[in-house]
Amino acid sequence: MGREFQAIAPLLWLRAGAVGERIDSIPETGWALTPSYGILFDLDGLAQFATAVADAAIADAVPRLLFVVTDSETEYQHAVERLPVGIESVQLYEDYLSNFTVNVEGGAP
Amino acid sequence: MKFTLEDYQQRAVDQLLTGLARARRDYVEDGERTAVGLTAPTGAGKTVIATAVLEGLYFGTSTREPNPGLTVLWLTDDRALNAQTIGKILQSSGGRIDANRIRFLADTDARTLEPGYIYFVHIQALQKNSTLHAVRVDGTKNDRRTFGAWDMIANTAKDRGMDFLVVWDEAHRGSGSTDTDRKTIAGTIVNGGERNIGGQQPAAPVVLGISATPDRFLAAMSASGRTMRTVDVPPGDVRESGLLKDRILIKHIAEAQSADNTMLALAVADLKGSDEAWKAHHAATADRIVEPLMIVQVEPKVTTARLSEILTTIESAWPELSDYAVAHAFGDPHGPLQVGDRSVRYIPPEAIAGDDRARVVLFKSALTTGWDCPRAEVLVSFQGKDSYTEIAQLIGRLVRTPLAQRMDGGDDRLNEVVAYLPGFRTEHVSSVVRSLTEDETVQVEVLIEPVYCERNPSVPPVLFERLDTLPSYMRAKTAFSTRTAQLMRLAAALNEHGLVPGASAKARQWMVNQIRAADDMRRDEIDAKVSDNLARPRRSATWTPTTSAPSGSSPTAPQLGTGTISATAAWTRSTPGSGSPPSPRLVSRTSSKRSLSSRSTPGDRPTPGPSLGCRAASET
Repeated sequence: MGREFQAIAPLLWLRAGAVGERIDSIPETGWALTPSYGILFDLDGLAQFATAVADAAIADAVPRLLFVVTDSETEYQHAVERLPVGIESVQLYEDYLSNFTVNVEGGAP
Repeated sequence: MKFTLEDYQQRAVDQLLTGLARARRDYVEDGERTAVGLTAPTGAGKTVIATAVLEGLYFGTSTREPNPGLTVLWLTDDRALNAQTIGKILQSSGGRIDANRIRFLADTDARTLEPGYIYFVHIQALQKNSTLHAVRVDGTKNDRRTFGAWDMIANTAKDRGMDFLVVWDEAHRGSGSTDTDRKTIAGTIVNGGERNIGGQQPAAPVVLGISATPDRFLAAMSASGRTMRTVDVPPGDVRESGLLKDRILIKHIAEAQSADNTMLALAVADLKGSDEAWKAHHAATADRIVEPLMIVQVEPKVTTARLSEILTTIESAWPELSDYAVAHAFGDPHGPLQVGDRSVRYIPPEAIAGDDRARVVLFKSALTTGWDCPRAEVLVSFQGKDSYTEIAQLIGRLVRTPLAQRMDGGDDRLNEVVAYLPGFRTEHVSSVVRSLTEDETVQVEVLIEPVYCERNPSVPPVLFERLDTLPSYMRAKTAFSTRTAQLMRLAAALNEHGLVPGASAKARQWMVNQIRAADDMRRDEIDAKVSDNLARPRRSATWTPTTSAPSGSSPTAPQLGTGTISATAAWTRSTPGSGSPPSPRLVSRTSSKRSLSSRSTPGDRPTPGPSLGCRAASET
């Protein structure tokens, strides 16, 4: 996943509103959070990530958008249930392609 | 989907997909036209269900082939409903259905509608005097369009047949069009016949109707001689789900005028309490902060003096409720309303839910369905005792829960909506309740003049403390679509509670190992098949699927569903990165499977990349 992420990191930052610092690398913990957006790279980091997001939200620094990297719908739904209600979240597929398909014709979902 | 569907929603989705698959088959076989109907009461999440159905159609499910070339025409009552529906679809899909996939019919000028897109159109855009017609009613040519809206729909129905789905959202009523207008225009799209601008329209092959009650759906479709397949969501299921507030409390004092302002002050106090409860909830859970709202339904012929009195009472009860926090949603004027020295801003009903700064909204009637204000927790109605339908309609807009789930463990206030009906006697209140459960099909417990039971002070408080420490367990509500999904969920839970660190990664690795082991076990067989297939010329006539497909796909453990694919995909990708030498064998097997499945299709359609997974899985 490493190399592909480098390439799309600016796109995610743009999608999250293009504010503040950019998440450019995948931290050891498996998640990253800035005041404007967050990325959960590894579902095993969910508990820590959810706590960090909740703390930020209570301190009135609500992130605008959270990305959850997983191919499994079940994992994504679990993450959504665990995260505070009302913060936008987007499932980011591990191949990243589906999220940035511009032309839907030709069948790429 | 972003949300885990409730059980009843998942059931409805499955039934609808089955119904649509049958409709498609029947149309292909003998041109039979079908209407598949979803009927569900207020608050069942009809748009969420429809979104899941669209996802199932476009991306396939573990048992169904995807149809990425499907064209959808979604028909609503008015522009505001269009925007609202699109917003809901994008939100509940969580990015899977992309905004790029959605278009407006009004912005399209082409012979047919394109494959893979969802087109939205509202009925008013198809009225006689609309600018979407290429040739106007009087026969003159519209210079701005090459293809008229009716022609685009007709051509798509003719050319694309089974790959064209018309969704008629009948449940949500708009305000602009009259009943006959709506029925004629929607009816022409659905059933064909004479267009309102002249000419003939062919009937739509497959229709998905969304409606509040089965009767309405059947009435709308009855004329056409279609095969009907209805999927009905029972109200009881919706009530269980927590999407609706638990209780509607109705408070009333059977006295005229003098009681009005007392009631209003009580309502404001109630709003304040609700506001505090939500703030506490936010501080405890970090859930989005909910700004509760009060709706005041005034008399139909209210005077400025009376409005001024209402505003003053509200403001003196809670000074925060002034200026911008107060808005009106009267039919007329659609602009600021001058009340004495105050100016009250206008807010369209469908914008209330999104405008956090509005805390009090003045209403006359509910006007339309299709908008919701789950944030509204308090209602005061000064409508006369005969207007119970209007009151019920308005309450119907308030019954959803603001965060789309029941708030457990906290304040019961968060799951309630309170309606104050001054001047109502008990028998009048019961007609409101009857109207609510019958016309609005709202299935929420209604309590009239509730009495709160406080804790008995003679019971030692330590007992209640102990009571709170008792553990509680949530009944699992999800029915898993595949065993893989269940495994991943279990892994997440084990990890969450620190029982197995890194459980999700381990579960994935375990599945990869299983596939690898199965692959190893039958290595010779598979290798032979792979080289055999690669050597063969690419002609479908020389290949017999019956002999090679079963053995080619058998190495995958039979109980694994779609999740297998994510594991396989993750593994083939992560192998080079993790340092171990890539395994060309498994990769080539995957790609040979791609050619297998595409060759087995008679039309030799190209197989789209990611959906390959589902296809491969469905062969097992």
